[in-house]
Formats: sequence, structure tokens, C-alpha cells
Amino acid sequence: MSAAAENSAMIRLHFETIEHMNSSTITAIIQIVQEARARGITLEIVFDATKNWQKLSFEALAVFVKDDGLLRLVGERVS
Amino acid sequence: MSDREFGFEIDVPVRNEWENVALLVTSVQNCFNAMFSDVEGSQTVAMVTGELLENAIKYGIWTGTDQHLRLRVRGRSKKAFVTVENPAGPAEVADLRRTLQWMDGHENAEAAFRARLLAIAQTADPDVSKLGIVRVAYQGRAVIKAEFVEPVLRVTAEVEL
Repeated sequence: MSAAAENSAMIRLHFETIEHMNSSTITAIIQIVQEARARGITLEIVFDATKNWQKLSFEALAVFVKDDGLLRLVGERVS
Repeated sequence: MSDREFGFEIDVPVRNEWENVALLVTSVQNCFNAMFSDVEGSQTVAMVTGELLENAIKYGIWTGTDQHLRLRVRGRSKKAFVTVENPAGPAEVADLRRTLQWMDGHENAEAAFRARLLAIAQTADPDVSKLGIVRVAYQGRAVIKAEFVEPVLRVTAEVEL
């Protein structure tokens, strides 16, 4: 996170290949979203939208999307 | 013979160790996959199983000699019931019921889930979370019931597949 802030880089988190995730993971992701926004870092979360559980989990994070463009939710199809 | 003619039931005592959650989640998912070839359904039942087991370990009262909880997963191809029993006290039960009532105050489970995400973002208090049970209702499309016959709390999620 610090390196991204210093280099004006974005962070991309990939979850497409994950088969399971518990609610504590979601809580941790929220903390990352909060910290990235506080530091002005663009965060991109990539998930597999063809997996229903991923779609439901990650699309709900849209509650944190703002006009600042610092959070992007990207649902990709993984074959 | 079609899937609809099959029922299934898993009923096991489980030691209250965190590593058992992953073992059972995988077991339930594999069992469900083998019976119905329903990947989405198996993931849903596995997720519900995992969240209820984690809650039982996290919020159960484990000061007695018995360090086991009970997992029961049963149903058919279109509906599953996931039940977890663990020792609990009135305070833990009241806490769970407050969360269930809080969910009922929302338009639907999705609205409750999103509200919970926002609440988590606004506090550093880990006890505010209770996201697991809300996730069961939302992603599991589950109706959740809690019964308490002291000292056992039984939580059942009725999951539409």
C-alpha cells in the first residue's frame, strides 16, 4: 500500500480463481478499500462474475464506489 | 433415477477447532457435488455451512468439558437445511436474535448485507461485524431460525437451491 502511494500506482486484487471466501475475508477487503481510499490509491477488485457467489459478494461492494473513481469492481469471465 | 428421488443427510459431531471448518466445508461441497452435479448449489450449501460453523466456534461457550458442536446438513436437490448446534449462553442468543431482527428491518437480505458492509466500514469494533449470518441470509437465500434450549443454541438455515 505504501509503495503504491509513493509511486502513484494502482492496486489490483484478483479473486477470480478463489473457490471459497468467508465473511472475515470480506471484512478484510473492506478495510483495504478504506485504507486505499484514505491514501488516494486506486483499487481495482477483479472477480469472476460467472461464479454466483463471487458476483453476489463483490457486486455488493459497490456501496463503496464513489465518484472519485478510486474503487473499481471488475467482473470478468474466467474460463 | 433422477436427482429428485434422492435425499441426503450428514450429521456429525465436530471438535471446535478452526481447521475443522475448512475440512467440513470441502466435505459438504464434495458430497453435494457428487449427488447433484450442482456447482452453484454446492457452493451455496458449503458457504452456509462454513459461516454457521465459524459462528458456533467464535460465539459458543467453550468452558465446559464438551468441546464439540454438531453439524447437520440435510435436504434434497431443491432445498437444504444446515443446522449447527453449540453450547451458548443467554447473552449470545440475545445477540444473535438482535442481528436477525436487525435483518428483518430491511427490505430484503441484500439490503441488509449492503447495510452491514457500510456499518463495518464505519467502525473498528470487530463485534459490530456479524456479517456471516447476514451473508447466509443474502448469498444463501436462506431463512434462518434460532432455537435455544439451555445450554444448546441451534441455528438452522433453510436454503433454496
